[in-house]
Amino acid sequence: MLSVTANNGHLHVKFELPAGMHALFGASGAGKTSLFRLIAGLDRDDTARVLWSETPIHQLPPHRRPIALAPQRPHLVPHRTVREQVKWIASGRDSDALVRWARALSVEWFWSRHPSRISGGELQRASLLRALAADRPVLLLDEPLSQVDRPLRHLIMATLKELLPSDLILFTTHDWEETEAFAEQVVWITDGRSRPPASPVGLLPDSPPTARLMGYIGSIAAHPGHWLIHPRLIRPGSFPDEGPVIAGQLTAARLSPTLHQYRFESDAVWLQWTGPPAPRAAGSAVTLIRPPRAEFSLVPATPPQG
Amino acid sequence: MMRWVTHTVGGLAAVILLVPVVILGFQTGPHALLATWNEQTSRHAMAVTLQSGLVALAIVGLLGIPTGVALNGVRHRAWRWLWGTALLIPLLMPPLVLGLVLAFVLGPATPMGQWFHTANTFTGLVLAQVYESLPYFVMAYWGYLQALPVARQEEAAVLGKSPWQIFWYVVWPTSRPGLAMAAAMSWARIVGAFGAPIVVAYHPSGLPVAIWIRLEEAGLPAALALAAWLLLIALPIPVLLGGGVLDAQRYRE
Repeated sequence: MLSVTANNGHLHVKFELPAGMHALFGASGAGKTSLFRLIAGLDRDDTARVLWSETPIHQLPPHRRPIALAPQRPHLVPHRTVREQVKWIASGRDSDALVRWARALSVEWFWSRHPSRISGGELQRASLLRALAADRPVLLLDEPLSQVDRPLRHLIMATLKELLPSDLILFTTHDWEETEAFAEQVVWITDGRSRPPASPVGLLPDSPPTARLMGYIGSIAAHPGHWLIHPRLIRPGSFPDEGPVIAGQLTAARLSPTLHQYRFESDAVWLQWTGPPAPRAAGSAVTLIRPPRAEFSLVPATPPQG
Repeated sequence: MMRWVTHTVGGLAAVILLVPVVILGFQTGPHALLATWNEQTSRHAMAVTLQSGLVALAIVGLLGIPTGVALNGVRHRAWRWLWGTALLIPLLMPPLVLGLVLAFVLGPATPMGQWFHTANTFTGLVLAQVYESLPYFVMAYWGYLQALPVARQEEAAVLGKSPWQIFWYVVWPTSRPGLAMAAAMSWARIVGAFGAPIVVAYHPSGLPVAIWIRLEEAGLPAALALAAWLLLIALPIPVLLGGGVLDAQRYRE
């Protein structure tokens, strides 16, 4: 169990997480990195309380905390090869497991290179391997694979979730799909304020900013009364038994290769929005799952004039 | 255009800087150098400068490296500013004034002077050289350390490495170019130290004081010949250290 509380000028956080793989979800600048630095002990703050297995660790210097951190922009030592640095961190611990991880992260083929000779994505993978080599109970991953291409990133995340090399893995992300796919619990952080951890599965947005962050499209501010709609909430066919749903017709018009204009019409609502091409929008008979909060009130079924 | 300006100005600066060296070269032929070498007092002064200089350089390094590392660890801007300014004050003192002030501590009538025989001894000379050169070493080394990314040390710390381990694996190797630069600068100050030694340790005379004596007793040509020797024996260390500075770019990324 990792328990974190802090109350300073920038961060107002309080949460407890059990063992497992969890996400710290928030927009850029929400305070994710600051919070990680606080947990790892790189930044000191008198209000911070960090407990691991009910033992306070916030008084300890970074190297004595049971925590390893892989940052978003790693700084490896320039005069040593990747292999030398990983071995230095491992200092003789289980090398078989490390070799397996090196293979899983595809680090093997640039093992013997210096950091200046590898790409940004490779550097991140090397840094992640180094963090795994530290072999600590808590692993903090600060968007550790943001420069790694999506398929490999998801493969690595899935491997981490399956093998769980540390008792607790907490990764930061602003990708809701990743959060849903790999996190057991998610801690939302908005403007430095945390919300209690919750399971990300089926979690729906409760305000326009969170909706936008979760990948919903459209804008309430620009068009009062309109819905924000996630492409995944639009399903072909009708599902009358699935709760608050609305059946209607969806049409899509291509504005550019990356932008489509969508129009949803039913007896009750009329909606129009632009967004990235959504494969599921192809069907004409679709269902909208209705978000639970009042902000997402429906507009009368009369298209605007003109 | 930029290139043209920097190259022209840089070339001009190099010429200006090398003028005294060229004059010294023209004014002292091989004969004068050999004649100076054959004098017992000259060889003695060279030996004194080399011996005291190497001891002083070692002391400067032993004091300067931990000081630079400690200063680099100071997080508060106000404290960094305070220490940076404090280190500049000794540099503002003309070396002669530094010597006059040091006489109050190292002079024959002081406790230090009586117990450690710091006045007019090898020890006194070394101490005077250390005083003149230590600020240069610390400022150069600290400046270099500050240009290195602190994230490297932080990342090693959050992966379980102690400050000592981080120093030996991360800081020490990557700061070697800065160390070379600092050592070269302080060496130049050490072998050229004149103002403080002439007050605190007139004997044993190192080369700067010996050159002064020679100028007074035998005139300019004889003094210049000895000065050429100073340049010759001081040169190998900066030349060797210069190679270390070449790697600086690599360690800063």
